[in-house]
Amino acid sequence: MNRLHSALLALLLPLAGLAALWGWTHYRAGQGTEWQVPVQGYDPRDLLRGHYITFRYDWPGLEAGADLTFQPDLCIEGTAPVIRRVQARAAFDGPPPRTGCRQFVRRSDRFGLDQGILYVPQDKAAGLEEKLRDPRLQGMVTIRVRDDGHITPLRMDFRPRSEPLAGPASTP
Amino acid sequence: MSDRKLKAWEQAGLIDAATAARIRAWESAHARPLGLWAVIGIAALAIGLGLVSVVAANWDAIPGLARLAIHFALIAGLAVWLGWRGAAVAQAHAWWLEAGLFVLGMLGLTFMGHLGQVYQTSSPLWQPVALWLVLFAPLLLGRGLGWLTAAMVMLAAVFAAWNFAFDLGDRRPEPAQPWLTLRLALAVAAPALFAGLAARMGAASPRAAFWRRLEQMALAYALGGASLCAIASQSGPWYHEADGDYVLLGTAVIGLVGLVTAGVMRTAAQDRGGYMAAALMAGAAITPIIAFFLSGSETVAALLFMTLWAGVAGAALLAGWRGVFQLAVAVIALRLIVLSFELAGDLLTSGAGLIASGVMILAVAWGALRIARRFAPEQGEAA
Repeated sequence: MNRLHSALLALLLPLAGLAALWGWTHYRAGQGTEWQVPVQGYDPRDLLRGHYITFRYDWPGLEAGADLTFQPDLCIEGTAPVIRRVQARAAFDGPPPRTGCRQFVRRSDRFGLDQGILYVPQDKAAGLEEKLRDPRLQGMVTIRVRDDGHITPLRMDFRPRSEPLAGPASTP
Repeated sequence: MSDRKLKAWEQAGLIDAATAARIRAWESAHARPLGLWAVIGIAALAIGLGLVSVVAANWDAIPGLARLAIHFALIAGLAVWLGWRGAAVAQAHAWWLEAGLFVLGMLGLTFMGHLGQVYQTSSPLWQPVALWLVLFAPLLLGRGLGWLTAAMVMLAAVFAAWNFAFDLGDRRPEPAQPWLTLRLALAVAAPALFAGLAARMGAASPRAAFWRRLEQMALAYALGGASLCAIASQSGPWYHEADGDYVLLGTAVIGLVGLVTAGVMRTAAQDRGGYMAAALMAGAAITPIIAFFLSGSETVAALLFMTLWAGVAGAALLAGWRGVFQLAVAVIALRLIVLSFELAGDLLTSGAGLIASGVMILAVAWGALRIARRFAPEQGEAA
């Protein structure tokens, strides 16, 4: 009887664990505030291109080309979903600013704050990349930011630029 | 079974006519309709591929929640089948149960990736794999029958450990910290613990084959790690490097985990093979520490490597593991050849040098073959 119990428990554990993981992921996915961030294309030679698209955030208020590799977090100012500007702190400057900043974003485990990844259907990826390279269009990624600063990119859309980029489009 | 061979053996006097007739009768009674099976297999493959491509083509059209629900239902269905029929299946067709467990494990692993895809989440790979281990290891360890499930557990553990270590290393703040080193060393050493668990559990288990496989794999992991340590010790000396203290701490922790495992294996050992496996684990455990203090010389590193494998050969000789003995001799011979190139690389730039090194390779290979054939123990049961 005891053996039977432990065999049943061993079978139930993965089911319960996966179900709990699903529920938790579902719950967490609904948390947070949505913001819109301008983005540009990242690396068109990505080998796994087609199932996801990688991009570079153009945080408003930071000078172009600012190195965010070791930036732990950024403070967002503005009214959701429009970001007025973000402010960077010195790297490794203690815990996230829980006071004095109403909404901050924190670097994820896999990516710094300068790039992100969005899973897209295979047949849409090529079109999105085409648009990202178009100098007349500005890519915007809607991100959901949880209270702990975790970023989840949700979708990407495009708006016409007020002044198109000079010269042929290039990706860094 | 070819009739031509039977006739040839009969004519050569190896078997008599009655035996040949009995073999023919047995073969025809046990013949499997291979042609029919092949046709059924091709049909099943076509249907399966068709299903996969239909699902794949419409993947994006299926709502994420529906996909996850179907995926979860598959897992639940398989789990119910295993719970309900598993014991009976294990009696009749052990491999079906093994395959069922493997498929269940894979479905569970892919479910986590599927969650990430639907909810656009991403995390370092070791996190889902480690969670998968927590959820599935009790089932696989409790029901597994052979190498397939054993390899699944072991690979997941090794992958999670190394991915964790690399991930930690990537985000390492300078300078190194003792706590970080400790976590790294514990993670990398952890898969070897399965050898101790397997030795203990296998002693009185009806699934001895499974536990023996797991023990072999964990021991192979430890020996592989020790070999890498020995090879890497030609750089250095490690104790002169800036973070030498941390390297020492790491090797000491790894050595300690290995020695504890060896102790567990030693107490659980029931025969000479068990004692030798424990001794090998102890050897693998102290190799990194020795490598630390002897690091900095190509020759010493090669000697350390060859000593380790000479130990493997010796243990195999005593325990009667023929294949392991031959492998160890081959590894030592290879290392000797590589060492000769490392020590006298300029030999390759002259004709006479090329001839000399060629002759030496032949001599080492010949010697290794002789030793492997002559001294190898008779075919026995491996660890």
